[in-house]
Amino acid sequence: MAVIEIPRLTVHTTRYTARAQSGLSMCFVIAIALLAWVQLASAQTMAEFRRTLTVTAAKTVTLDVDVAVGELQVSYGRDGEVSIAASARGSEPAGIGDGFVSAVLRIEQIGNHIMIHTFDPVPPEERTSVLYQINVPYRTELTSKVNSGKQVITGILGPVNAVTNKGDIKAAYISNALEGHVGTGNLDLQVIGGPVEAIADSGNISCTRLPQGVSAEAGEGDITLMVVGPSTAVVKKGTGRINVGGARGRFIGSTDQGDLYLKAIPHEDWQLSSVSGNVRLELPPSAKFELEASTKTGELQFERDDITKPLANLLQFRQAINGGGKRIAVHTESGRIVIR
Amino acid sequence: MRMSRQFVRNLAITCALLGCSNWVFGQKDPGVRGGIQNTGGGLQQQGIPIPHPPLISRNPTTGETINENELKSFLEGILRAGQLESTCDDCADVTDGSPVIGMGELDPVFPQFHTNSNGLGARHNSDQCFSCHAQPTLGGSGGYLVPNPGDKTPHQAENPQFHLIPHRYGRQNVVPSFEHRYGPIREVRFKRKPDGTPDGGVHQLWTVRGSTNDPTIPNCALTQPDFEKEYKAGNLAFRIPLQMTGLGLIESIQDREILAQHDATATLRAPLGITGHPNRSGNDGTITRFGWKAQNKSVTIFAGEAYNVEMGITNEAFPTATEEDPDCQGPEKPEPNDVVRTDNNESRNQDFDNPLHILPDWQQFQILMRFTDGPAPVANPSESAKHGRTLFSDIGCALCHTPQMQTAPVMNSAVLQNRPVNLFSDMFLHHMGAKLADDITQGQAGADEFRTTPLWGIGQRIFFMHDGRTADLLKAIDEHFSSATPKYSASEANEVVHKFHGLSSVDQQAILDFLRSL
Repeated sequence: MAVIEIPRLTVHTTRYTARAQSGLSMCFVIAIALLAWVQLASAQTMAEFRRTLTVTAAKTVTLDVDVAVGELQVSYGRDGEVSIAASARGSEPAGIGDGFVSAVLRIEQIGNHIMIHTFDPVPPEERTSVLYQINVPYRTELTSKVNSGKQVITGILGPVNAVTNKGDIKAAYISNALEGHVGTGNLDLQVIGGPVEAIADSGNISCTRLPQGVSAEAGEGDITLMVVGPSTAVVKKGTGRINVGGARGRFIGSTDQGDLYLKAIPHEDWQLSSVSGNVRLELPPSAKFELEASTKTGELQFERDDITKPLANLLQFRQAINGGGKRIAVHTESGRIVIR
Repeated sequence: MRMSRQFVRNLAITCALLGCSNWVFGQKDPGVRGGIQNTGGGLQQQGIPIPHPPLISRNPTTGETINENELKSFLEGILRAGQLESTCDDCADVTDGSPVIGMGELDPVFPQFHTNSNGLGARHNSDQCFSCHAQPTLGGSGGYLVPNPGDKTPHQAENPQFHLIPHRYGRQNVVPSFEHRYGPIREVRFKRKPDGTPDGGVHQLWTVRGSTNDPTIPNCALTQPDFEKEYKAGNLAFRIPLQMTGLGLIESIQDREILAQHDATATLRAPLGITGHPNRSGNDGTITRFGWKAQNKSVTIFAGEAYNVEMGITNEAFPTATEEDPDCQGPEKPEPNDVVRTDNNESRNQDFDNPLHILPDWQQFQILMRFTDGPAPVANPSESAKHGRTLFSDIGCALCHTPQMQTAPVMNSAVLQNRPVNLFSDMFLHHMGAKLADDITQGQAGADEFRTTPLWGIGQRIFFMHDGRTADLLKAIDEHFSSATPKYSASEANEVVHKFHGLSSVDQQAILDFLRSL
C-alpha cells in the first residue's frame, strides 16, 4: 500500500506546484515587503542593565524604590545579595541605547539600605516599556512607589509599603504587614502574614489567605476576600461588590449599590450592611449563631430549615440559630437579605 | 655512651623538625567555608535567622527564569516545610501554614516554639522539615540549631536531636548515646530483626509521649526501642540528612545522560578498578537517584517518604502509619493525615475556613525541592582551589564525582530544562568495601554500596559520609579506602585514594581547598 501511495502524493504535489507557482511567488514578494514595512515602522530598540550588590545576612535589607514609569518586580532570590536587572524597549525615537537604563536609574547603597530611583525615561507617546526586576534576600523591608506602572512583590519578610498612582499592585507571600494603595488599578494580595491595609481609589481589591486580616477600602470597585482573619471591607460608592469566603474572625462589610456575599463559619461577630445591594450569607448547616437582620424597604429571605420562616413584609428579624453563638447583624436599606 | 647521647639528641631534633614541618606544611581541611558561626545554627546563635533556601537561578542556557506560579509554589513550599507540627489535629498555636508573627520567633516562617501545623506522628525523627535541613541554609543538610530559641540568652547551637526535638513540648524521650551534642543528626536503621532476618528499615527515635500541647493523648504510653542494646549489638546503621538543594535539577537529568557520562569514562576507570552500576526502579527499570543508596525514584517519592518516616505524617504516597497505637494518635485523627483536600465535609477539608488549602504539605514540599537552586560554589576560588580542581580530575576523583551533567532538553518547566548541573556525582552505586558497609540493602544497592554523593555544597557541610562519622574532609577521603575482606570486595576508590596520598602536601591541600570551595 505504501509503495502505491507515495508516487500518487508526489504527482499531486507537482501538479499543484506547477499551477500555483506564479501566484505564490507574488504573495511571497508582497509578504516580505509587508514584513519589512512593519519592521521599519515599529523599529524596536532595547537596552539591558544588570548589577548585583552584596549585603550582609546579619541585618535586614531596607529597600526604597521610586519608579517614575515602568513595571517593578521585587521578589525573593537568595540571601546575601540584591540583584537588579532592568530592561527597556522603545520605538526608534525613544533613543534606547546601551546606556539608556543606567542613565535613568540611580542606585545607592549604604550597608544594607538600598535606594533605587528612576527618572521618567521618555515621553509616553514614544511607547517605552521599562521593567525593573529586583531579587532580594528574604529579610527585606520594602517601600516602593510607582507613578505609572505595575508592581509585583513576592516572597519577602516585609513590612511592605507599596503605592502606585496608576497601575496594579500584586503582592504574595509577605510574612509581615503590608500597606498597599493604588490610585487607578487593582490590588491583588495573597498569603500575607501580618495585618494588611488595602486601598484602591478606583479599582478592585482581592485578598487571599490573610490570617491577620485586612482593612480593605475600595472607592467603587469590588472587594474579594478569601480566608482572612479579622477584617473590614468597605465599598464607598457605586455598584462595587464584596465577596467573602472563609472569614476566620470578626468581619465588618458594607457596600453601596453592590451585593455582599459571604460564605464562612461564624467564628466571631459579623456586621454586614448595604444601601441598595443584596446581602447573601451562606453558612454550614451546623453553624451556631445569633442572627439580627433588618431592612428599611427591602426584603428578608431565609432558605434554611433551622430559621423560623418570618411573616411576609417583615422588616426586622432576630433568632438564635442552633442554640445561638456569635452575633451576625445584617442590615440593608432597600436591598434583599438572603440567609442560606 | 657519648655518641649514644648525641644520637638521641639529634634524633629528637630531627623529630621536632619533622613534626614542625608537618605542622607547617601538612595538609588540613580548612573547615566549613565561612566558619560554622556564619552558617545555619551559628547565625541563629547570634540572633540572626537562618537564610532561606535559594531560589532556582536563571537558566544559563536559555535565560528563562522561574515563572510566577512556580515561584508561588516554591514560596508556599517554604511555608509548609517550615511548619512546626503539633500532635493533635486542631491544636496548632496559629493558623495552619501561617507565619508566626509577633510571638517572638526569630523567623516567622521557621518557628521553634509555636506550632503552625498539625499531624505529627506517634513516632517520628523530627517535628519539622527544616530542623534537620538547616546547614548552611534552610533546605540544606543536617546542622546545628539553638536548643532554647525562646530564651533571651541563646545557648550555643547544637545537634537538634540532642535536646530540642526529643524534649519539645515536654515530650519524654530518652536521648540515645549515639546522638552527641555537637555531633551529626542521626537516624537509625536496624540491620537485622530479632529473629536474625534482614530488617533495613528506619526505626524512629522519638515518640509523642508526654506532649503538653495535646489533650487528646493523655494515655499515650509508647516507649522507644532499646537503641542502646541494639547499638551494643552492632545492629544499628546510621544515616545523616542530605541536602535538599538542587534536587529538582538532579531529577531533570535524563537516564541517557547519566549512562553516557559513565560510558565516556570507561577506559579511564577500568585500570583503576572502578565499575559501578545504577540503582533502578523495580517498576519501570529507570535509574533511581535520591538518598544515600539512590533508593528513591523522584523528589515526590522522597517527600512522601520523608513525611511519613521522619515526621510520622501519613500521606497518599505512604498512607500507612508506622505506629498505629490509638492512644497516641488522637481519637479523630484521619488517615492518611496529609492528603489532597477533596472531602465535602468542611470540618475535614476546611471548605469554609480554607477553600484554597488544596495541595497537602508533602506535595508543596516536593515543589519546594524542585525549585531550590543547587549549592553555589565560591565566586572567586583561590589559586590553590583552582589547582585542586585540576588535580581532582587528574587523580581520578572526577571519574565518579562527575563534575557536570545536563538536564533534559525539553521539560515542563523552562527554568529546569537544558541547563548544566554541577553536581559532582555520577549517580551510580559503587562498592566501598568493609569500612563503609552498613549491611543495608535498598533496591539494587548492596550492603557496601553507596551512591556517589554529590559534592556540590560540600564546602559548607559539617559532617561527611552516610553516617556522619567525620567532620574532617581529609579523613573522609581516607574513609573511601577499604581493603578486601572475606565478606566484602575492596573499595572501588582504593586506587584513587592511593593517588591522592601520592601527591605532595601542597597538592593534597589544593584538593581540600577545592572541595571547600564547592
